[in-house]
Amino acid sequence: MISVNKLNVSYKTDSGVARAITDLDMDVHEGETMGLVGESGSGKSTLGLAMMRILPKNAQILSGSIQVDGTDLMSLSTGKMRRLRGETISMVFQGAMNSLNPLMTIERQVSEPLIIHNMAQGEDALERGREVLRKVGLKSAVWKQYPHQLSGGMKQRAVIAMAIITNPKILIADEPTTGLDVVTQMAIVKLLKDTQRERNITMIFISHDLPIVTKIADRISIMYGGRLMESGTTSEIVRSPRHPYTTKLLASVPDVRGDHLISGIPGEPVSALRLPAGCLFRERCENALKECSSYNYEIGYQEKDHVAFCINTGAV
Amino acid sequence: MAAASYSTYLARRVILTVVSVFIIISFNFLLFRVLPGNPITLLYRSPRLTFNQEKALSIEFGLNRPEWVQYILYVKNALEGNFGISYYYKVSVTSKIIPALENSLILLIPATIISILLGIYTGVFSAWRENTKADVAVLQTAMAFYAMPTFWLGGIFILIAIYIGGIPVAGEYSVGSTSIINLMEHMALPLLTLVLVYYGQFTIMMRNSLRDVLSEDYILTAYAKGADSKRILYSHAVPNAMLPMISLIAINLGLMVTGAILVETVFSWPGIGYLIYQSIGHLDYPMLQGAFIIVTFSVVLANLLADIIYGLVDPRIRYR
Ligand SMILES: Nc1ncnc2c1ncn2[C@@H]1O[C@H](COP(=O)(O)OP(=O)(O)OP(=O)(O)O)[C@@H](O)[C@H]1O
Ligand SMILES: [Mg+2]
Repeated sequence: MISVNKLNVSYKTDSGVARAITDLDMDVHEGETMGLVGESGSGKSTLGLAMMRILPKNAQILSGSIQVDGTDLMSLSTGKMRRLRGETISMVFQGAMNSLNPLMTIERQVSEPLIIHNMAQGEDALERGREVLRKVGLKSAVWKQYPHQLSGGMKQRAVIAMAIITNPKILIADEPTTGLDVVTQMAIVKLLKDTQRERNITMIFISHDLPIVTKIADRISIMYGGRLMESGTTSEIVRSPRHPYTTKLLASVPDVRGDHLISGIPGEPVSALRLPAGCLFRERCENALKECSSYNYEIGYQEKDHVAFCINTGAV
Repeated sequence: MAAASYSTYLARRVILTVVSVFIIISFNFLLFRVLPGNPITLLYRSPRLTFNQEKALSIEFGLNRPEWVQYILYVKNALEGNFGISYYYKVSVTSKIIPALENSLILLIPATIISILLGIYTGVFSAWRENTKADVAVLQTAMAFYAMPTFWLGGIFILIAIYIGGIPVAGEYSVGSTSIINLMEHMALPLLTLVLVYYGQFTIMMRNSLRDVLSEDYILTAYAKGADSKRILYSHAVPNAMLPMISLIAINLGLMVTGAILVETVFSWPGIGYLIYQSIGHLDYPMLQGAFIIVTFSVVLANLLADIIYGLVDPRIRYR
């Protein structure tokens, strides 16, 4: 369904070039939920934006490809790509708080994708908008309201409604639970899970929070410093993690606001502006060997779909 | 409920406006009294008034009454639009100010509307092409005009008009004419000067406001929906970018008035600015006081209007 091959993305900044994604490979099968996990700055959002081809102007896709159903997204014309956006591939952005236009009623924003893609017009579109809003659990009182009148959880539901109204094949949900209280987080996870099952959506669920991801993902990819560290089914990742970084993530608990890991991993994540040679994680790794500084990202462990990029996987 | 909170907002603005009006009137009253010298001699510029003349004037202006009575009389007169008799013209100040105000508005309203529209258009053009050559060119042109002294630009236009010939450079009508064509011919140069000097600030405001909006998350959301640039700009970005413009426009209306004084003077346009300029020459204090109050009132009212519009377009104010 989705196939990312040797993707390299960088950002030009005032202080140099930031290598946001390096040699990333990822396959997502039809109808499954892929959990994408990593600390802040590991390149998760960048991957999502690259799949939508809406990276900021200072970003550059250096090499690699992203294929959806065998079509290379990079080779599509801007017009063709625009028609895919919001219809075939939808995205729910990090920070739903600001993802809604403050001057438009909820129902109008939610039904807008139908109008853009000529699937419905006028009152008909609004009616379908209300239907989806009801489905995500928003009652009629909020349909004609403006974003500032909604709570965080309600906004997140509205944003999800907006993303699924066109019945997309692929949904990228970037940190949909970050910034919400725990009860609301669980409700949103359930909503996404039910929606995904019901409509057979291929979903990429991005989060800092590995424990939450295990509740929804069929498979999980762990990213660090723009590289894939480990990838496997959820039970493989949880029961037999092969990468020391995965082990550390499993032992970490996100804080109340959910945007920082506490009791987490000592040290700071690597900076995309100055990626060290060798294994990116080695400076924070308890199992680091001398050879890690010349590690070149050959596969360190592979068992069917379960791969880990570490030369010391046995030590875990 | 929602509607009630908009009326609360409106009520608050109206009260604020009324308070501002009182402060302006009171300030004028005080100013008049703290100026050195006797108000009567100040008013009549002659230190050699006889005792009887001065007494007669004191009674006419109520200066023999207690201060608070004077104040109430002053406020009452001001609210009734009664600012006394012009020293120079020997007629009521109001009868001179009203036609001058009309002439100013004939010039200022179209100038304001055109410069705002031109500013918005060029600002949108620039922001959409941020950091390209077109953006820089539009921005630098706007800033160059904005930086030009009004009287200098007006003077250049007068020189050019005289050189070409056939374009009127002074006044509102040719002698004996009242035709609208004649009015428009006379208006062309002062209007052009005002628009050029003023549109630049709106360009810069609009460009910066829109540039900020374009980096908002909801714009990214609009892209993700598959919206094309037209929809991104006109359904999502521009309406949001207009919000800060409304209050900035209101603030800048005050500056427009100063510009009007300069332009009306350069082109001898018989508006309130030209009247102020002439009254300074005549040391016509009652006229100046009246004109200042009227100008300040207009700015305060324009601000109220901006607040009302702001409340109507921003749901965050309408439904709080
Ligand atoms: N617009 C940008 N300009 C410059 N650098 C950027 C930009 N966006 C992201 N980066 C850099 O690219 C790297 C990856 O960022 P990205 O936002 O993809 O990470 P993330 O995993 O989504 O992090 P988070 O969990 O904080 O959302 C980081 O080093 C970040 O600083
Ligand atoms: Mg992110």
